[in-house]
Amino acid sequence: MNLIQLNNIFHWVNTGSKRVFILKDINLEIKDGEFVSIMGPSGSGKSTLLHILGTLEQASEGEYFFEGEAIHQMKEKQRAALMKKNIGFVFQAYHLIDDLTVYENIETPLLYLDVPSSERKARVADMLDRFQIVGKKDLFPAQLSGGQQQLVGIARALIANPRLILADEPTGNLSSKQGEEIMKIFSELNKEGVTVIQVTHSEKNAEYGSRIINLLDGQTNLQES
Amino acid sequence: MIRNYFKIALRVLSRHKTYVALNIIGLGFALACCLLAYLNYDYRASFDSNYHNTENIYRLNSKKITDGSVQQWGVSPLALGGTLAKSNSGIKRFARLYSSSAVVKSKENSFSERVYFADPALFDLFKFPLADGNSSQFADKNSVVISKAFAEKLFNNEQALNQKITLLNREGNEQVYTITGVLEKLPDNSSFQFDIITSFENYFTEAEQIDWRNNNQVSTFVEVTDKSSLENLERQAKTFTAVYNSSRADDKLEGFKLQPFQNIAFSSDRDFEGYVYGSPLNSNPRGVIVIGPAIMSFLILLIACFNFTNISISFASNRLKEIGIRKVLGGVRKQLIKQFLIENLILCTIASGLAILFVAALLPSFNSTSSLNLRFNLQDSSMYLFLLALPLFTAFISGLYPALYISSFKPISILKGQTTFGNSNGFTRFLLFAQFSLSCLALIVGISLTKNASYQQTVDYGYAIKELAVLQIDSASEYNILSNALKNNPRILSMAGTVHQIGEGSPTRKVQAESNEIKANVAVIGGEEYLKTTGVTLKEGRHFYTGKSLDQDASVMVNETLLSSLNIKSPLGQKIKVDSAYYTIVGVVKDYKEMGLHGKVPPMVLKSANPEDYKYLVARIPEDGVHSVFKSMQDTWHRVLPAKPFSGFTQDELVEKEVYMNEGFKSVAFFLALSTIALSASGIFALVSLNIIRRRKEIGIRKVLGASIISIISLINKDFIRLMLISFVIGSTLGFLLIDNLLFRFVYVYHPEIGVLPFILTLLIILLTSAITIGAKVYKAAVANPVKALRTE
Repeated sequence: MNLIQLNNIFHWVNTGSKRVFILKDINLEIKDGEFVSIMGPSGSGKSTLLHILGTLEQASEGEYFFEGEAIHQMKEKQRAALMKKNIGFVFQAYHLIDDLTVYENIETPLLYLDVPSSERKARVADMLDRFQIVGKKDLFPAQLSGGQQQLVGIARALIANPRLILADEPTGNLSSKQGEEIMKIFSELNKEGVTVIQVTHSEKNAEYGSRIINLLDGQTNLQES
Repeated sequence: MIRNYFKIALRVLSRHKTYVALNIIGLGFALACCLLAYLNYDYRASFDSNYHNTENIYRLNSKKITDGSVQQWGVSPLALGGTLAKSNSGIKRFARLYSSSAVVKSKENSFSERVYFADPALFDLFKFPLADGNSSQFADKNSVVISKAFAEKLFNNEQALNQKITLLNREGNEQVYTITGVLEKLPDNSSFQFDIITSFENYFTEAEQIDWRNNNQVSTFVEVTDKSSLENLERQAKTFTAVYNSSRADDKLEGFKLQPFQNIAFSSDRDFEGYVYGSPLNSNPRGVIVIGPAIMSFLILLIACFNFTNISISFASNRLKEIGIRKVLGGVRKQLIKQFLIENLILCTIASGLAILFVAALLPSFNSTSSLNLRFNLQDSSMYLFLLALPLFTAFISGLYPALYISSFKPISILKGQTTFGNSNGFTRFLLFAQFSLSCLALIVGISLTKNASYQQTVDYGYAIKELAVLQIDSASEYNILSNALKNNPRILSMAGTVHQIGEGSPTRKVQAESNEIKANVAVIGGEEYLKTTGVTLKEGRHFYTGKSLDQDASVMVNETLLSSLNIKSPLGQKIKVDSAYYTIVGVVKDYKEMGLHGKVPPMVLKSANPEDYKYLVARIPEDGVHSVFKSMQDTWHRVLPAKPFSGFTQDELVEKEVYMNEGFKSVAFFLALSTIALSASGIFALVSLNIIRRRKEIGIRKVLGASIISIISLINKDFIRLMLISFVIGSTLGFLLIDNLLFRFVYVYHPEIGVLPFILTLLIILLTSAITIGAKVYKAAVANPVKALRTE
C-alpha cells in the first residue's frame, strides 16, 4: 500500500472574481520509506503541496489517502489527531517557540499527545543525546546558532516517532556546511525507515532524495532520479 | 500538562513586565474597589449576626392607620408587653427597652447621654458580652451597666466597676447608681448600641407599666416557646387595641404584628421593602450606601476588564508565531484556549493578592472618611468565597475573548506571516470608547462640583450666616441668665432672642391678599434686634417696635418673594390674611436663603415674638472668631446653667451638610475619573502599541517614500483622536445631563452655571493624558529607521 496517494488534487484561491489555480490536477503516490524532493521555481506551488500533505491546508478539490485513509473526508479533529501522531514538520525558519527552552520545545508535541511525564523525560533525553545537544537543553532558541536551531527543529519533528517528515527548505537559512550536515541527518533518518518529503531549491540537496518531483505552475512533471 | 502551562505562563509573564504590571495594577485596583464594596455590603448583610439563638425572638410592632394605609411601627404601648406576658403562656420571656436622654454626672464632669432602660431579661435574650462584672445585679435598683467606651470616657484607665455615677431622673433629681457591669464593645452593625443601660424600673413605676393611658412607646421583645403560637399571640394582642384606643384620643392602633428579630435590621431603613417606622434601634442604612459603591466598583472592574482584554489582545500579537507553531505541533484550539485562560488566571490571582494589600492599606482611611467600621472578617467563609470567585470571574470575563480570538487563527497563514490583527477590531474600539466616555462623564461631574464648592463658599445667603452662634433654650429665664452672662463678652457684637431661627424651620400657613392665596412660612422673630443681629436687610418700611406692643397682634413684615407671589405692588399698609386673622404689612425685608442652597427662598411672613416664648439666643460675632467665641459660650453655659446639657450650634453648620455632600459627590466623581482615566490611558497605550506593530511595515514604506515624522505621527493617531472626540461628545453630554437634570435641579437649587470650562478642561485632560501615555511610543515609531521594519529576515 502507498503511504500517500493523491488523486486529482486541485487547489485555488479566489482573488476578486478571478480564480487563481495554485495546484492543477496533481496525482502522486509516495511509498513508505521513500525520500522525495519537490523542486520548482518560486510560486510553482511547492509549499502549498507540502502543506496539503501535512493537512495544514485542505485541497480545494481531489482525494488524499494517507495509509489508505481518506483524509479529504475526515473532520478537523480526526485530521489533527492523525497529523500529530504521524507527521513531523521542519521549517526553513526553524519556528521554535522563543519562550521555551530547547528541552521544552522538543517536549511540546508529546504534551499534545498526552504522553505521561516519565516517558516524556526519557524520550526527550534520548533525542537530546542523539543530536548531541544535551548541553544546550536549558538554552533558549535565541542563544543558539541557526544550525543548532534547525537541529532542535528536527529533534522536535522526530520526538513523536512520526511516519513522515515534511521539510520546507530545511537548509534555506543555513550555511552550506551546516546545510550539508542537516541533509546527512535526513538521509540517515530515511535509512532508518522514516519517509521524508522535502521542498528545496537546491539541486544538490535534491540529490539526497530517491526521487524528485518537479512542479511548474502547479503541475507535476514526474522524474525518477 | 497543567503544570507545564503554569510553568510556561510564569516564564512568559516574567519576560513581559510592563504588560504584566499594567494589567495587574489596573486589575488589582479594580478588585480592591470590589472588595471594599463587598465589605460594605457584608457589613449591612451581617447586621445583628453577633446575636445567636434569636430565631424565637420577636419584636411587637404596632399597626397604625395613617392616610388610609396600615403602617408598621417598631414600638408598642408601654402597658402591652407586661399585660400580654401575664395572660399568655406562649411567651417564654419578654423584655422592654426604652431610652431617654439624661444628664450623667461623674465627679465634676457632666455629660448629656442617651440612657437605656431595659428589663433584665434583655440580657438573657441577647447575651451582651460583659468585659467586667456581671448582669445578675442588673435587676437591682440603682445598678447600671455601661459600655467600655463610656467607662474610658468617665474614668480613663481606672477600674469602672463599683464606681458611683449620678443620673438626673425625669423630675431633675439626682440619683446615685453603682456600676455593676462593663459591656464589651458591640459591633457597629448591631441594632443595639448602649453606652449606659439600667433597669426599666428606674424609669417607669409599676403603676405606669400597666397604665394604658401612658403615652410612652417602648420596644418590646418576646421569646416564644414555639412558632405555632404566633398567630394566637397576635390575635390576643389585638384584643388590647380597643383598650388602648379608648384611653388615647390622639393615637389609634389597628393591631399588632410580631416581627422576627432577625428581620429587624432589614426593615430599618426607608430603602427597605416593609420599612418599619419609628424604630428607636440602631438602623441599618442600605440602598444608596450599598448600591452606590457597588455600582462604582463594578464600573471600575468592568473598565479594568476591558483594558485587560485589550492589552491581552495586543500582547498576543507578539505571540502569533508561538500560536502557529503550537497548532502545527498538534495543539488543538481547546488546549490553546486553556493555556491563555490559565495565563489570565495567574494574572488575576496576583491582582487579587495585590487587591488585598491595597484594601488592607486603605481600610483605615476608608473607615475614617466613611464613618463606618469595616474590617476583614477572617471567620467569614463567604468572604473567602468572594476572594476566590472574583479572580476566576475576572479571568474568565476578560480572558475569554482574547483566548477565543487568538486561538482562532490558521497556523499556516500565521507562519507565512499573513495573519495580522484585524485592522479595525470593532470590539476593542468599542471598549476603548466606553472607557473614555465614562472618564469624560466623571470628569464633567467632578469639575462642575468643584465649581459648585467654590460657589458655596462665596454665595450671598442674604444674612450673616458665617457670623452667628445660636443657643437653644427653653424659657425666658434661661434667655435672661445667658444673655446677662454673655453681655460682658467683648467679642459678641450683638445678641437677640427669637422663636424661629433661620434655617431651623417655621410652620407654613395660608396667606391671602385680595383674591390671591399662597402657602407661606410664618416665622416668629425677635424684632429689630434680631434682624440686625442676623444681618437680614430691611428694604422698605420699618422694624417692629421693641417691647410689648400692638405689633405682636396686628403687624407683620414680609420678604420680597411673598410680595411677588401675591402680586403686591405697594406693600406698606397693605392688609394680608394669615389663616383667619388680618395683619398689616409694616416692613419688607430682602430675601434671605431660609432653606440654604437646596431650596428656593419661600414666601415669608415675619411676626413679632413675645420674649416669653424665645427658643433661641442668637449672637453675632466677627467671622474669624465665631468658633472660638462659640466655645467660650459653651463654658459660660456650663457655668450659669450647670444642670442643663449644652445645646447650640453655629449658623454655618446649617449648610455644612450641603457642603459635606458636595464634597462627597465630588470625591466620588474624581475618584471615578482618576481611576477610569488611568485605566483608559493604559488601554490606549496597549492599543497604540498594537497599532504600531501592525503598521510597522506601512510606516517603513511611507518613510522610504519620504513621509515626514509629523505625518507619520498623525497617521498613527488619527483613528484614536477621532475615537476620543466621539467619546468626549457622548460622555460629556451624559455628564451634563446628570449634573443639570439631577444634581443641580434637585439637590443644589442654588448653583453656578455649568459653563464651558468643565468641557474645555475635560477635553484637555483626556487629550493630555493620552498624549503623555502614548507620545514616546508614537515618536519612537515615527523616527525609527525604516530599513529595520522592511528587512524581511
